[in-house]
Amino acid sequence: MSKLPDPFREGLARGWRVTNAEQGLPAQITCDVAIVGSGAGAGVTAELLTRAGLDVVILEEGPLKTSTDFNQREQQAYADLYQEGAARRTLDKAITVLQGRCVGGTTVINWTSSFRTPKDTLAWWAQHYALADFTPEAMAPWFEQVERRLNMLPWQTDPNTNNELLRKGATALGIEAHVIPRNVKGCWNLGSCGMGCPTNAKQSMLVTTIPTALDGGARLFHHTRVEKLDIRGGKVQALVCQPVRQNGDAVGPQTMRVVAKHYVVSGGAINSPALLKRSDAPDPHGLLGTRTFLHPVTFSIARFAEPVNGWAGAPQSIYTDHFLHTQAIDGPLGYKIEVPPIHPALAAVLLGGHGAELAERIKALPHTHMTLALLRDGFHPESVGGTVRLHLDGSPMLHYPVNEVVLDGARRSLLSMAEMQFAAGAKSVRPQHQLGREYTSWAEARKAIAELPMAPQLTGLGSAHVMGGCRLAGKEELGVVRPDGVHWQVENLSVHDGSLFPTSIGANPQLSVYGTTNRLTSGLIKRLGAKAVTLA
Amino acid sequence: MNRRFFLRAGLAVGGGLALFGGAVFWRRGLSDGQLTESGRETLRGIARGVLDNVLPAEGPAREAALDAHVQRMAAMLNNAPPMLRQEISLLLGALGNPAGRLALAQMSTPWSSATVPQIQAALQTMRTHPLDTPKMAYGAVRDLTCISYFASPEGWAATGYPGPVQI
Repeated sequence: MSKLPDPFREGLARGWRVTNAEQGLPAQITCDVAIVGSGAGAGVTAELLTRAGLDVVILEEGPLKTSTDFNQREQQAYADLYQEGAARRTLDKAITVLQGRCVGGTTVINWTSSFRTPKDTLAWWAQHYALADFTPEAMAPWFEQVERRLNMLPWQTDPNTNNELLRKGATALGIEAHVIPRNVKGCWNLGSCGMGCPTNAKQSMLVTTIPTALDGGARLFHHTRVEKLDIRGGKVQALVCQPVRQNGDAVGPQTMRVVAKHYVVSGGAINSPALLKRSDAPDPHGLLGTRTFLHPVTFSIARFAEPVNGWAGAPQSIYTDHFLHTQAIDGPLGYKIEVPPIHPALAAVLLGGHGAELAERIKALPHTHMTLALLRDGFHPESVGGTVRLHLDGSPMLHYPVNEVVLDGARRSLLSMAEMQFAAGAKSVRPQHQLGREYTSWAEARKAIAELPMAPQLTGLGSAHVMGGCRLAGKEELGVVRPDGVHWQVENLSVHDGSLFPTSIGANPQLSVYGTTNRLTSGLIKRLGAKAVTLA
Repeated sequence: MNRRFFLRAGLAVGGGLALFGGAVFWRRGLSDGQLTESGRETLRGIARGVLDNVLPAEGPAREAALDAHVQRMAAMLNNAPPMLRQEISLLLGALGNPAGRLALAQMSTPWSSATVPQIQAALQTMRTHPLDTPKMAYGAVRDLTCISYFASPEGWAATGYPGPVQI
């Protein structure tokens, strides 16, 4: 348990209006704007609306955990802060999906990498989704404000060994590698970003926008699941909310209605489309929940003679985009290469195997180096992503068929990563694949990886970036929401989260969510007749 | 083949599925969100296979480590959302009854009496099975076992991880 000051708890002591729904909810409340969720999109939206003088209510399904609770332990973090206890997977279980489920959402548990939406991604949206106004120049001021507000700067401290080895391997091959901008202030370089920042250095929504909104009078309800939007006559009439326990079980039959002038859905790119589906939101073109992208991630595991201790230090500080630009954007999937943190439980999952094989791999953990490749999905004509569907109980599931285009990208990325790891001096490299072995030379690895059967369940795949499902478009038949973020068929409903994106981003998406929702919220404030404000 | 054959075959298949479904339900892994005895037995057996070489040596220390592991799994599963609990309950039910265990893992011996080599052979069968379902089952039980064990301080000793930084 962190003994450092906890600004959130201090705010609670000052009288912030925060309600744990497990303790009971009123039957009905009213406000100007109700926001579903409290992550990246919700946080920016809440701060701006509150500072504009609007009465804001924030509704979060997960628990409220603050820096005092963050003890750098995976056991507690996965149980308290992640969707489905970090066990969320696609329908066929081929891809593990890491997403946050707590006040602050995924921003509480992400690894802080902060990239603007790449120019070629924006150009694609302009060309294919009639989003001509989403140019790099038009978006720049919105990104700049976020970068100032959340202190996003290239990491100034030396990379940890895990990251440095990525740079070393890339450099040896003549590949450009760069320093990652991170949203931290006074970072202790602990490495536990994925378990909640115990020092409040990470500028997540938990310590930035949500506190600003609460200081401005916003109300926050946590353990509060929005079951459905009551949509009638082309408008949302109310939100129907239910108090839930940590595990999602309903506390009881009581519900709360939230009546607002405007509603913003920011539940993330699996939960938001699912909420709209549960609510029977109009979907005349059958687009809702479709084209959901994951940046499917492959992993390459190497051993070095020197200690790597990949659990220590900023998790991500070096990247290379080289392989995003070695083919056309709509050609074979390109990929961004970074590294993951290496803590025991996450590592044990990635290392694979059982019995003696697992024991031998886990024993080598201090000397283990890992890289990951984010496959840029959504541009190749056959890379259509997944579809959000509903379980019988209304909870969401994502069906993401792992097709040949993805598997081809997986193989090429495993080859690229292995070559870089050998170039950095690895003693052995093993792709994350059920049939992968320790290869002791690049020649051996190249031959073996080229021959590995690439298939779902065999090829290791993960994701921490869920995007799409309620995509923006400048034409009604192309999108779920308009370029201003308002639903094409429901006039007082906006979507402000990663589900807006028509394709994957091609980079860690948090800044894309912040920047886009910053812009959309500014427009919303104007339409609601409130005073203009800027994020920073 | 005539209509009567198809009727008889349909009844036989339906009856078989009903029996299997009943067996899965009877051996379900969770009941009211809590691990059943059958679920505990299955998870304990799987842990013996997955974690064999990282658990303490055979004897009281290993038994205590397995007990603690199953307790952590119980807490982890109780914390899971309802649909995930149902999926895991069904999976443990399928692995816990003889027909399901034989079909998925080709192991006829119950988890509690199987030797570690038998369990590891069963896990390997699931891992490399030509069908997706056994591979999915392997991934689920193997990863849940690893998350539960290595996320706890008891699991760190085998990894070289020194634990959290004191702040």
